[in-house]
Amino acid sequence: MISPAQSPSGDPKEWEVSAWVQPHRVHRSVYTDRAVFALEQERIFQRAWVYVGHESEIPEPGDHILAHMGTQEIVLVRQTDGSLAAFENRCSHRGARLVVQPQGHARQFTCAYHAWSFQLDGQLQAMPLPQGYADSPAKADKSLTRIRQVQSYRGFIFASHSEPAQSLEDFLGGLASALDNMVDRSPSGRLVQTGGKLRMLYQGNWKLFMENAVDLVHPMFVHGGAVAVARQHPEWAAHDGVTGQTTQMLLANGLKLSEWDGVELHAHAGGHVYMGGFYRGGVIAPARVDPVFEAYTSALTERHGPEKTQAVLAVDRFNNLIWPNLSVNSRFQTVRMVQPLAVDQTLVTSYCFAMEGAPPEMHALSLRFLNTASSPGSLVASDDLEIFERCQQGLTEGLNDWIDTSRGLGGDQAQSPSHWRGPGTSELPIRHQLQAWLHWMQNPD
Amino acid sequence: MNTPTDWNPPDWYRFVLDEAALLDARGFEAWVGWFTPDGRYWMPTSEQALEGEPALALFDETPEVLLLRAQRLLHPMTHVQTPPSRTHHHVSALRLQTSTDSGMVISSMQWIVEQRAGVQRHFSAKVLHRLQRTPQGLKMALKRVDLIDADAAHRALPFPL
Repeated sequence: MISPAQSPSGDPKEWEVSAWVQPHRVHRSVYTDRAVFALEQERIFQRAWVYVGHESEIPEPGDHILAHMGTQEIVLVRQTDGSLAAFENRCSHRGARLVVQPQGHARQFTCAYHAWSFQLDGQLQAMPLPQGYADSPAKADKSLTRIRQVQSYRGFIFASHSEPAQSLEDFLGGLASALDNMVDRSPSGRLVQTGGKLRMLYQGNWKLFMENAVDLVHPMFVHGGAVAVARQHPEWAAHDGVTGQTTQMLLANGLKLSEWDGVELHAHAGGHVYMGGFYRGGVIAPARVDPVFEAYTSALTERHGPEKTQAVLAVDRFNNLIWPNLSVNSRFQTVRMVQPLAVDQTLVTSYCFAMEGAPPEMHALSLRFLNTASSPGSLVASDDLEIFERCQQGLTEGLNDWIDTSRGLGGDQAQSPSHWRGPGTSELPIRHQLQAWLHWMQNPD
Repeated sequence: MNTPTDWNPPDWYRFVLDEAALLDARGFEAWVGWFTPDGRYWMPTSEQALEGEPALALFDETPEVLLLRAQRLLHPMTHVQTPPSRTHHHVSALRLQTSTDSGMVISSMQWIVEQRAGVQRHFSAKVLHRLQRTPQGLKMALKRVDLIDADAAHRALPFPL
């Protein structure tokens, strides 16, 4: 076996990656080695089901958006028959990027370089001087490179270049419930992505974001400054609008470690994890008492009846992580999409959905939630971004090759063969995500 | 030729320059007092963003939230400001857009240079000040900052521009 300490160079396919992820620790190369990052693109981001967008972003045939499977840019297109397709954003002729606007509508795609044009399904439609290419292979070979699998789960679109892929439903497993709950919360059953997008960049590995989102020991320390200043103005929590909601969100981060322990962590097969909710008061609490929430509950009851409405609203979770690249908050109708740019550079794109049929104030609540939690200017997230960068800086060089992941080891409880539970201060989710990483990285096919 | 003391710019002109200097001096708590009680500090993600149209924003804050921000910027546990940022606001093209007895709207172009921990960043912005005359002098009812790359990804931006 090649020792991890000796291996961070050469062909990573020859490495014993299993030595890098151990029950209580992980090798720093997993976060810092460029060759490992390249292999992640091939083995994880091309093969696992990766979240690429929402159906409401491309409602009509010809509507398209740019999306990413890891570092690979793709064009996600609504087809003439209403189905979904995606292809690599590269002209099949000279390789020029075909689509350059992040979203648009087209009847066909025409390359700016030599005007090769393609149908919505990626098939070559026409090219100038076709006789000039007479000796080339068949026309079909000149179509765009289709992503093999593009599927929607209740409006959330995932893509995989694997053939055959595990079914999307099987892949989502226990965390399909997070998407179900978001859709179920809409009085019409429809969600519409609207209100723009926020983009945060940090100079650190993509896994740092996914791990931190379910690390419940860090808020007390990383967000201690934000909590401390909010505690100087507790009366503002009773205000309306931005002031009240922001103050409530900051104060909520101020739980004691023993209280964080009471926020349950759940891990499901496939590396997917979620944490329980911890918002207890004001407009951010799961059980609100105010006219807006009453109007919303009444609209939801018309759809589901009282019993199911109560069950849908009783689901109180905060971050739901669908490995490898999606963080979902069903209660606030938001997603955060993690996009690796380089081994030490990550983009996090956040947006929210309006629930059709709900009072508009519910959407305003979601927008304020993301502004407070996921903007580069966030009073909360900006300190997380700083910590990710410090981790990356610390891990990149040095004699200590290992990262400790042992907190709570041995305290995780199996609920079923595919479901584990741990107290809030456990590093169960980190260990669990790393096991999923190992699974995909170890299997070449 | 005029000497500096000969030139007496209008109050709104001085306000925009003084406000920029106050931010560069990290006088954040005092700066919050330069807003009206119902004032707004807004940095939308699109120049097309309209007031009253709900949308995500890089900043969209009331004076109360700005005070939380100001106090946090000066708090020792604010890691993203350890060490603190230094900034220079370069203000140009000040224009009086509209004026009434109760206030005025001023536009300016601002280039803000930030230096922190050896890394330099640059922000280019169109800035709009909606100022109100009050017994305490001019106050900001709105400061809108439209970054040239408002829709781009940004690293942490914990301080107001």
